[in-house]
Amino acid sequence: MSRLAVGIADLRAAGPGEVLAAVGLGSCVAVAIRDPTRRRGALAHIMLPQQSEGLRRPGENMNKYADVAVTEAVRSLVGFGCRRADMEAKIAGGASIFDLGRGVEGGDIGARNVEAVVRALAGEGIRLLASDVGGREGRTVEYSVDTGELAVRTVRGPRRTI
Amino acid sequence: MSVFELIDESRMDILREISTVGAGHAATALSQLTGRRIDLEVPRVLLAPVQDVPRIAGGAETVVDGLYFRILGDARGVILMIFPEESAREVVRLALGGRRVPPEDPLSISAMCEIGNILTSAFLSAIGQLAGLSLIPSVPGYARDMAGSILDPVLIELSRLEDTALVIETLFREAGEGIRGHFFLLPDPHTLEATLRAAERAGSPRGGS
Repeated sequence: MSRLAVGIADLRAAGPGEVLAAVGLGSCVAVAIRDPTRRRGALAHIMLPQQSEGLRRPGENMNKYADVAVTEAVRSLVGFGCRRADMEAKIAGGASIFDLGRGVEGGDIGARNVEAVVRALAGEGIRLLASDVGGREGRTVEYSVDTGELAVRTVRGPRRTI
Repeated sequence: MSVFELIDESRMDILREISTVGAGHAATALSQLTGRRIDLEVPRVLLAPVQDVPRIAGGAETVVDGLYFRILGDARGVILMIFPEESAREVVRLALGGRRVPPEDPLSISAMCEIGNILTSAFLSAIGQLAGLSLIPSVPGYARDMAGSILDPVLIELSRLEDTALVIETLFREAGEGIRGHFFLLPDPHTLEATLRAAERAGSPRGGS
């Protein structure tokens, strides 16, 4: 079984027998989508809610935005012959690592990322099966394309699978 | 404004010089606080894709103690200090006069914040003096977690403007290798310009009086 690392602001697709991993998610969110019938999946490691927040510079890496990455992930899976109606999603991340205080700019970015991902999935008509979001702890996730299990690890908390 | 448009070789040199002075002051402060001789490496100034920063910091999954400061005053930016776990425990032990406390103990957390405050203030006041700017650190945010998640707020903030981060990295090291720390200064590109201009007006720090 091969493990493919998905870095910050990255998006990767994988096939049968493969595991997609995102390491050290703080306020970032990992979005896992797969088509169980065709055993294809994708994992996005998003940083920001939507592209309208950026500067839209030419050559910008757009997969850091939740709205763009979710659409791209679905499109790449469709490109592998997956059916939108069969796709399912799980998400993890969106913590608030530092207590930056109320009203501090960027203090609620984790929660806003989660909201944006949920909205983008709904917009694409993808079912959200489970989520492990918020809190004060960073997460590492591993997504099995075969089983659809999303394993979540933290430094202090228990290991869980959603 | 992109950092690429702002930074050429001579400006990289200015940043390196400014950082060396700042880090020197911080290392002195840390030596006084711990009673140990702390050496520092000449700071690295590098432009790196945002995705590469966790690797520069020692790997996204490595557990570290992180302190997060906003720069207030005449410039904006973020300072992040990262201590590998063992180093963090050792710094705290020395700061508490040899007493060992678990990392989640409020005493340990408050000692870490205090150490961060002292280092950051020493660093900022030194570079502020060179650049003719008033730079003040905010109250620190503290967390002990995976390096990737500690870096997230900084990288997220930067990535609104850039996919490339200007990272000024200093490695502190105690002679006995008991303490190592990374000091990351990530200036906001908008105010990087202001800082560089001020430093250029003030003249090269090497030749300054």
